[in-house]
Amino acid sequence: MALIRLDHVTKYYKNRLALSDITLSFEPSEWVFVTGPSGAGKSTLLRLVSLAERPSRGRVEAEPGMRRTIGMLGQEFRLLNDRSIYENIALACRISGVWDKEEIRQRVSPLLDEMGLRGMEGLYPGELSSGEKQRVALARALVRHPRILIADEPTGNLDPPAAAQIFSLMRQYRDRETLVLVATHAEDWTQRHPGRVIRLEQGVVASDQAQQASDGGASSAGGGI
Amino acid sequence: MGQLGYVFVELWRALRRHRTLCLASILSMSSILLILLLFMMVLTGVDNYTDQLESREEISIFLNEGLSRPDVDVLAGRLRLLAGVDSLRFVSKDEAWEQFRADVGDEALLQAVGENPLPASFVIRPKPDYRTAEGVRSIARQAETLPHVEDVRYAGEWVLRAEQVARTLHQIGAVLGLIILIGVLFVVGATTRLAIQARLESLHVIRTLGGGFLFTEAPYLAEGFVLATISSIITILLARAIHDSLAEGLFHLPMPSTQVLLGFAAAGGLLGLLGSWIAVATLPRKWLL
Repeated sequence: MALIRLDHVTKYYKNRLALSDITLSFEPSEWVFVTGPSGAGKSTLLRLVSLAERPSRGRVEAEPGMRRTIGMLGQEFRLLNDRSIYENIALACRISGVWDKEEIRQRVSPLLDEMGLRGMEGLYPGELSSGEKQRVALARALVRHPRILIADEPTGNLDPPAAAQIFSLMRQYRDRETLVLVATHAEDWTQRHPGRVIRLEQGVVASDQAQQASDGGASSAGGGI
Repeated sequence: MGQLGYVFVELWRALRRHRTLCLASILSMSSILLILLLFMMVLTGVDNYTDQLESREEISIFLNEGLSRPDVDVLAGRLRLLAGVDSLRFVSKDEAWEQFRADVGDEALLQAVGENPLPASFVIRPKPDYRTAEGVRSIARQAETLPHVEDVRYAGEWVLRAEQVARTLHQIGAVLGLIILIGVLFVVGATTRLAIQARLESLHVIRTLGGGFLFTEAPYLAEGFVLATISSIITILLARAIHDSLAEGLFHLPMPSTQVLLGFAAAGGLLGLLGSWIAVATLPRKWLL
């Protein structure tokens, strides 16, 4: 059963058409790239999937309460500079309704290890490198145990090794029943981390294919249009 | 840490982060609240004074010495029939002396006076329509013509003028209160707006994470409440200091009762809450998007 489904969705911003008559569905454990040139509608599609915006026409179907189980990762790290790394991650727990101190610790602690942030939890964002900041942002997105992880150009501000690390960490979560949706215009990542690739052009789906790892060959995607 | 604890921690963080702004806000609010509280104290003093004066609306009818009980009863009946008399109270020689003793309190002086020289009297309370200079005077003139009446005393027009002044002061107080209410709302609102502007980026992040009222608005509402409550308490302490410094002099400003002061502090806090709520509720939407 689809985790989230867009049914003939159109989105306007004032009079500008951002997306036109999109029908897509996404399953748990899918690894999906959304590619396309600037202005193709990638970010709009992600905002609709994240339930942060409503379509101008059509429907976005999701389970009730789904919004709380969506983790977001952007190009900008968007950390709170006046809080420690631990507090930045714990805040997302509290926002999702987890207030018990021990439960928060149990959620944050393994993520510090997985993201290679152990020992840095008392530091503040200003004291971290870009790669470390993005790992904190990823930990913050994952601490809510998201069913959907949405990443909009997550490696845009990172050097190649840090970017590779972020992709590798996100990849682990796809293996834990989490739908991972990544918007990028850096198409080389789609070769290195094969999965479903949705290409948008001028607000419409130009292609929706499963990308193969080695030879770059493509086959039709199961949940596509 | 529960939800309330979170709001407190955020409040403390905000107060520390914007301490100069908060201090300026507290000083501004304390200054304008002090004007209101001092005016309330002046009004309390004036009210106390006019309460005392109210008895001066009464007319004292002093009787000749040695009247028999039937004479007194006859005179009482005639006084009751005068136009404008609401009630009548008899004060015997002994009662007058006891009252005098209580008022003077100096036993040596009382002994010097010797035997009770005070006459018995009737005290007339005029009907409301007659509680004017002209009304009181007309009752006094009628009473003067009655037999066994030695003297008639009444306070006169200045008492009524004093009451008029008190009424005017109350009206000024109401207008002043309204102006100060707007002033407090403005100061708290401006402080909240500045605090929000300074944290706009953080607010965007929290909103992006799905943070609602508790994570965005609530700490600012708490800040407005706390700043205004602190300002009210400082105002009360300043007013108390002014009251104490004047206590030795001729001019005396009475301190309002504890209940009134608690109400003042609570009202100040609620005003702060209202001011910050208005500031949050009227934020441009684009700030938060």
